[in-house]
Amino acid sequence: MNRSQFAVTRACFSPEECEAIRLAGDANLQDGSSDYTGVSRVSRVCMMSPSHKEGWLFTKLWTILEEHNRKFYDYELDYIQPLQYSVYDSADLGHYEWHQDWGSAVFDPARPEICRKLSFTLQLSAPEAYEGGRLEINYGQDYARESEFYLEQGTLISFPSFMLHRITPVTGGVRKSLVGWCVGPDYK
Amino acid sequence: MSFIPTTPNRGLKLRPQGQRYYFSTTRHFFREEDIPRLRALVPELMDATVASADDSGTSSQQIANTDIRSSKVGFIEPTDSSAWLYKLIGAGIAHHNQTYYDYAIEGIETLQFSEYPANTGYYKPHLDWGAGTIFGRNDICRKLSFTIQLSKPDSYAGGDLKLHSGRELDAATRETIREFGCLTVFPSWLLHEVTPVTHGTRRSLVGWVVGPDFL
Repeated sequence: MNRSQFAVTRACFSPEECEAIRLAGDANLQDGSSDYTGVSRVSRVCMMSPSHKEGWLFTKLWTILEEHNRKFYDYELDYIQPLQYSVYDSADLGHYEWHQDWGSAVFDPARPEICRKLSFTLQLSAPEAYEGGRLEINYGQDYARESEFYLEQGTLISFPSFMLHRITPVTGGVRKSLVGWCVGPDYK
Repeated sequence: MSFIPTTPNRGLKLRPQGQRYYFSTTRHFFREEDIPRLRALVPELMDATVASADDSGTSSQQIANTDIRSSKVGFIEPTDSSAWLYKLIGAGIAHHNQTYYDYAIEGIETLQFSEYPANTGYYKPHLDWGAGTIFGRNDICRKLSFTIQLSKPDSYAGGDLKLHSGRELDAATRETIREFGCLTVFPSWLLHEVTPVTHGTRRSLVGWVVGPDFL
């Protein structure tokens, strides 16, 4: 019975590791970023592909996510897509309205059954560095209260990609995070 | 107690590969002339309950909780006299599953007739999918949820079935979901609610299709 709505490993990345990812992410942002400025989403993001430089990061994420999957979900998973470094800045009230990651997108034309199944977020900023910017996962009553438990820097949160979730507006400072998706054949 | 088996129908690949659905509908699924023989199957209604986890979080019990849900319900057991209804719904579910979802499914839980009276009827946002056992089994869960509208749309106000996928439904779709006789099917993990009924009474038949945990 593995039907968790989310799973958390607190502070599994050290402050030094978070700093290293932030440096690499900020450098990638300089090289080119996608800026979302719509009503539903305001943030700056860039992709982080698994180069040899970030190889340790994918290995570490996969190790923790495999454990989450074994204990809490039991999904058939194939691989992690390129990671997305995300910056939510209070200067433009960065946020991302309610949405799901699961959907009709085809990532691999040779395997159209592949979809996002397990989403995750790594908190790269210390909670003192920003206000607002809560990741909230909506399973109905009392969901907002839970978000207080996984704010710590270096904490990895995973959840089924079909779960409705959002980032509330950042009202002070800057929130940086790394988000990603484990993909596999559609839920059956 | 056990559930009525549904047709095994996976793997027919009717949906285009990569196309994924948050919900599906069949208009005019239930006929008005069948209302009397449906009502004849409905026992005396009682207050609806919600699952409440115990302190260990490993099991749950049903309790009334008006913070979340307020309505009257009656369960229609699968018997010889309700066989026609289960057969009708079984066929509808088999069609929707093979066309839109392709989930491994085993059967339909006991059907639930629901009544949301004015000023007291609502069901706040919730998931049907979650922890807990079904008929004593912990290897199966709710996979598809469905609602059949049994009230005419102009006979009540409020009482909308809202499906929260992060995408706004257009006005035509919202109207379809409200139509008398419309069958609406959606994955049980989809957040949904019934908004407060402000006038009249909204009646519906709801149910759940169960199967092995999502893989």
